[in-house]
Amino acid sequence: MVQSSSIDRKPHQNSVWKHIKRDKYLLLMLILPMAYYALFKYGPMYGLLMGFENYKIKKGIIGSDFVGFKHFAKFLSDDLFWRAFKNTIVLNVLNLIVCFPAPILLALMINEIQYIQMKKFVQSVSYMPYFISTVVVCSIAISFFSNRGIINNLISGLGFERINFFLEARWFRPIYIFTDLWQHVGWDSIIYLAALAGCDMEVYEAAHIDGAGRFQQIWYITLPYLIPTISIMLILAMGKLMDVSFEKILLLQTPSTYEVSDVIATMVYRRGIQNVEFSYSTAIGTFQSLVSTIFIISANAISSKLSETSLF
Amino acid sequence: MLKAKLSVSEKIGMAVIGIVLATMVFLCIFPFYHMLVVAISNGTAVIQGKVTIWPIGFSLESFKQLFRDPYVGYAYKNTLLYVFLGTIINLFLTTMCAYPLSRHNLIGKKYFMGIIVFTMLFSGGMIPTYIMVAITLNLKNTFWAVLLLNGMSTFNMIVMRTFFITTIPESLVEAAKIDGANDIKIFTRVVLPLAKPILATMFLFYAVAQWNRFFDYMLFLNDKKTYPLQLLIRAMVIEGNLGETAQKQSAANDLFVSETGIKYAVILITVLPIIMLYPFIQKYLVKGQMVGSLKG
Repeated sequence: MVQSSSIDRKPHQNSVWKHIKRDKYLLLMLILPMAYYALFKYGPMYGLLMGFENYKIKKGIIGSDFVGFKHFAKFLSDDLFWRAFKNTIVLNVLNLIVCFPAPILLALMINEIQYIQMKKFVQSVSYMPYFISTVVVCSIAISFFSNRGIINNLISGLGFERINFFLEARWFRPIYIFTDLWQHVGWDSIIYLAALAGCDMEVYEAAHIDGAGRFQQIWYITLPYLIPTISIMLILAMGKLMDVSFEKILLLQTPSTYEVSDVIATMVYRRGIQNVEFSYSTAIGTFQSLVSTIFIISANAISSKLSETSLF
Repeated sequence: MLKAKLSVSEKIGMAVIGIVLATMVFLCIFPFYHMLVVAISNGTAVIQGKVTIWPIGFSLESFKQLFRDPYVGYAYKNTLLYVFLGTIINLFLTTMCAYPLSRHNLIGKKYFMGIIVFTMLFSGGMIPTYIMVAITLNLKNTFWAVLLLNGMSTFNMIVMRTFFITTIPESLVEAAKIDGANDIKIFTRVVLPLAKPILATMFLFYAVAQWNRFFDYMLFLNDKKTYPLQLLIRAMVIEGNLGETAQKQSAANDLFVSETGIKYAVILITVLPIIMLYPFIQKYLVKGQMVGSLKG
């Protein structure tokens, strides 16, 4: 080794080559996954150029006319875009207010169950909806809330007027949030239950001897114990503030509820895929991607500053 | 928790917890039970809105009608095929990516990880992805578009990589190297046998995701014969397009079947495999979720 470095003029490059040779099989394994990332992740990023062109399929991305920020200027002065932007944020904030504390409460309640078998049963049942597809969840919601569905039968049985849940804008948000809660509350409680499992029993015993009641124990011992997990989960949830359950909104919305239900993603889908305005919708999509990237990076930066947990 | 005598306010508190949890359990189970009851009840009673908790009459006619529609058979077969092929692709690509990146001295590891993690931060979005797959790769109207586009999940890959890093000691790899094994041999003889638990968990996560996938099929498939179940449900239940089944129903007046009954039947046959297998697989899924959340 000592000799070779004096003979060789480019020791560094030489060792790189040596390492490549040493790791040749490992690098070979990586070829297909990397091709996947190149084609299906980086390919579309290159396609973002469409937002700056009048993209025509026949001319391709390279051949289409470059128009600069024309589409960006257009959507920034488009009321429908701002409506979708507002709806995206509002739906997410409402969803966060309801669906963020719910799994914590659920975990605390499940933790109070004394009988192991019962506890396991409740947990298993609560996770199940997570594995049901969005289409099925929406199909069930649409059928149950339909004019002749079980909910309206109940309402009319109680002597009230039947409600057109999917034609009245004011019902969209409650249905969206309720189905989200139904599908995710159990699954999202897993992380809190896992944290609770590590809680030291001796502390409870000591508190009990000191005369603390059950709810005092929850308030003064269990909840503070969960605070680190809760703060990390909250920060990560903030990072996803631009993501919505796009599939669900697409399936649940009707033109008469667009006023509250149309979000950026559904707008991009309608304008891009259905109206074939590729460039315009790509420009809107670029905006959304950029904003969510900023959200994720800031959330992650805060999270890794506060603790050792981070998304990556 | 300690078993102790409860004060009155604590008893009330426990009662509230009991009621809330019972309501949640009810809300998770009842929808499926109700759909089953409607699907096996007499159609007239269903239309009159009488069927809620107990079935009225009994017939499997909704299910029979459903399977008389040839597209239901196609959809079931398609779903099985797509889930099978898709999951194989997922497991292959995920393992091929996770293992090399778990080796601590792999050359260029930092760059590979950087390239991959960047895709979790920023994406091209719907339209450029559509153009890439449908136009550039010319995969319109074939299920390969969906299977390849969803070839692997970066999140799952990172979970698997963490598993490799934490459970396969570097010394084991070094020892095998000294014995003259190359990296391919080490991977197949040493690493894969140790990776069975994570492969099982990944298999389940991917299979459920493949079974439930919807939007990408909607984007890329046009021919109804190639639809998976999820697309068929959307057409039948959400768009209310019962197709040939509804027409046949009016012909068979004596065995009256309600539209709702058929809709619920198609939903049930789609969720059935997941609900049936769920009790057996749930502990693996939960374990997988824990690995994912603890990766740090």
